Amino acid sequence: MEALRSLEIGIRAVRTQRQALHVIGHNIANVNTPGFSRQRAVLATTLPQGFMGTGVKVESIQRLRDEVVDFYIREENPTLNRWKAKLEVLQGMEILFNEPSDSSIGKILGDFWNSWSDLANNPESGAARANVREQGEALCEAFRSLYQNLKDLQIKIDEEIKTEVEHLNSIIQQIADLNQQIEKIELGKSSQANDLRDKRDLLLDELSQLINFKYQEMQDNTLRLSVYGQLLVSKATVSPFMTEAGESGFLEIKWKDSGERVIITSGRLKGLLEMRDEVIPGFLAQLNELAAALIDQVNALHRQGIGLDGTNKIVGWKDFTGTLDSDGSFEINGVNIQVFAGDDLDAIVNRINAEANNTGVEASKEGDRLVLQPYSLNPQTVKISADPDGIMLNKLGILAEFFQGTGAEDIDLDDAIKQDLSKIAASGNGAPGDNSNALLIFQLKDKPVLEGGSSTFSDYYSKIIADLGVETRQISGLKENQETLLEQLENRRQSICGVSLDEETTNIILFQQAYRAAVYFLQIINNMLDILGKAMIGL
Amino acid sequence: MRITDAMLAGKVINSINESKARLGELQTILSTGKKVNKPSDDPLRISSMFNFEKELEEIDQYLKNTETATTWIDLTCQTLTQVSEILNSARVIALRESNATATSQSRAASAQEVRNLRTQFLNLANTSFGGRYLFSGTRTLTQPFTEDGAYQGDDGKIQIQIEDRQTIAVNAPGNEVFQGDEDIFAVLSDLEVALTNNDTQAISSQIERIDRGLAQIHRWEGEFGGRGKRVEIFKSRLKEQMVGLTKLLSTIEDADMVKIAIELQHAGAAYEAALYAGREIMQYTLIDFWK
Repeated sequence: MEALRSLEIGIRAVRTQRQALHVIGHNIANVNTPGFSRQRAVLATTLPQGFMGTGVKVESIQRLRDEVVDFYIREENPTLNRWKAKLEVLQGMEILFNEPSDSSIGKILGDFWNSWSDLANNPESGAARANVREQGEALCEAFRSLYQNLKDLQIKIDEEIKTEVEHLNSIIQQIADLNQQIEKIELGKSSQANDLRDKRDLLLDELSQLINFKYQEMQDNTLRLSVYGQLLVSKATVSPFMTEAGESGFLEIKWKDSGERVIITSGRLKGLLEMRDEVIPGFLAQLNELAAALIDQVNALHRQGIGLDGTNKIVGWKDFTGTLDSDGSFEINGVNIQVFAGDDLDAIVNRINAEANNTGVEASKEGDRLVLQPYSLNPQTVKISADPDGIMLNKLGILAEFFQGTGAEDIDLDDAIKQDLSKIAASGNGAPGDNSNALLIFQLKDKPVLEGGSSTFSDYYSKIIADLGVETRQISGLKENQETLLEQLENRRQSICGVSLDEETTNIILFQQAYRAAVYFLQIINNMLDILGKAMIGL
Repeated sequence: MRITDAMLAGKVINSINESKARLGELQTILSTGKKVNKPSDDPLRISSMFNFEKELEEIDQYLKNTETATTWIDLTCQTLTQVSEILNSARVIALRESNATATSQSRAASAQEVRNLRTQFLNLANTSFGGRYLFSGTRTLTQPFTEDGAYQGDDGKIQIQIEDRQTIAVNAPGNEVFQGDEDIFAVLSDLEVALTNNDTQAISSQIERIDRGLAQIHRWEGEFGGRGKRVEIFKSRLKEQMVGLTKLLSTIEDADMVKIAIELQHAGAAYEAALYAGREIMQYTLIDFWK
């Protein structure tokens, strides 16, 4: 029955070409599916009978994929995403610093110094004093808001880290699930679960954005993933991460099972951690340093000066109710006065008056405010000098600091200045027209007081900005280089596994024609059998 | 190399994005007129921009300060000139009335004149400007001289900063100016008394004192004239510095508009080319040619 055998060849040929066309259809359908690798029907001859061939069959459906390129992509992808994450945050920071612009700290700092020069030109003027207060307030505000904004950025990153860890956990769970399915489907077969493998590969790509990891395909076709030597996925089991608040108040990434910290060396997570824990704190510290130096230096000079109310009568700028919380001392006209914790205003008045014969100054109360004034004609003035840091006199409302606070976070004008413009100490000797102290404060702008006496305030600030610029530019360059590298790798991968419609169309024609010929062949054989049949009936 | 549709599409999108990004950058430069719009645009340049801008602001402030200094000094000079006129008038009176031809009547009339001169002088010595007395030292809110010529000010100097390490005193304490070698208040009072008393000897002895007072005022006029000149010199130097720095800053931070316009044209052309290439590449597949 040679003819029947031919019929069989024909039927097999028709079926095989149709199957091949089906694979092409699958390719075309998935031309835009992310992670899809084109597939190819691998055709082979069927088992011959003696010298006679028996036709064709689809031996397997092959997925075209270059695993070496995949490996490189997953090696390089974490680095790219580390730079990307850093760059995103750095660019955000550039916007926060808002340089160069008229509303940046750099500009406001300059305006602040100039307001002291204006005050020196017009020390008696309420307008010039109001201007100093306004510029001072603007400066404090600028410091605080920049500091707070950077803090907020840190918190945002912290929240993002939490989200990304959840994302990572979901990815590895999906990989573990796919491991299980692929193992089951491929068990004992030569074919591969192409589409499931595509999915798993895509998840690996996604994972490689977050973190760098090692992976290995096992004998049972499952993937084994590890991070810094610790197993992440093995077969169907995962070791997920978790986030837990650490000492710094920010989240730490830990292994859920052991509670140990995950060592992360690259990927988006690394970039976010670096920004949150290293870069932003660095800038915060620099801002703090600048603000603290400003507070210290301006206050130290301001303490030496005398406000517009002069030296004849000093009225406290705030109520002092309650009692002192610590011991302290200060000098009035060169005479040391000791006060003690627990002293109330009356007690303090008494202590000052006990020395009245030596100081020539009498203390009294106006409401809850301390008042100092000369009680004899000689000396006619009240000259106070502070305890080393001026705290005690400030508490009593006698001495006005210019700034209060300790750094960029809480820098503010002293309550004295907020309440009473005449407390701005422009004068050095108490005369209203004397501007020597305002001049000294103005001249602070050129004093190298930061970095061990090597930079001025504006030097230091411009260095902060330059640092930010350099860092951003550097990371941007690194990111671009890495992007080029990955583009090339991605192109290589696409060149192998991507679907080309022209190619598929050409193949359609090829298989369509083979299909048509096979059908024609079947017709011929059918005709031949017909002829043979009729002839046999005729017999 | 096998080229797939996704690769082509990716390339088209990339090149369109790239040329668009460049267009965006150029647009920012054109709208701000500045080459450096954020620190990472040019970290080195931003440092020098910073310094130049700071210096410019300082110069601006110093120029403002020189105006204040000039106001004080000019006002002081004017006042001193008026004082010397008063002294000259007093001198003329003293000369005239020390003459033998003078009568007790004419001397009585002149005594009145001198009293008026003294009042004018008191007003001048108490000149204030914007509520600040010129001759009170730093006690600028206290009238420097009482009716009887007692000085109530101090000897404080008001310094105005006119350069980084340069201040200039813009006032002189009234007691040094008007009561230094010669107390002008006393001279005028004494002259008036001498005239009233019809005391020829006393009248002529005032001439010498008036001359000493004049010399004293002239000395201060000269002093303030000198300070005024110094301020002017600083002012013109600051202005020159300002022009120089502005130019320098401009070369650093200002964009070359012609160049940017040309670059913008190129970027526009690149964008068009990317769009055109996209259209040519993306539009056709093999099927289009098989129909």
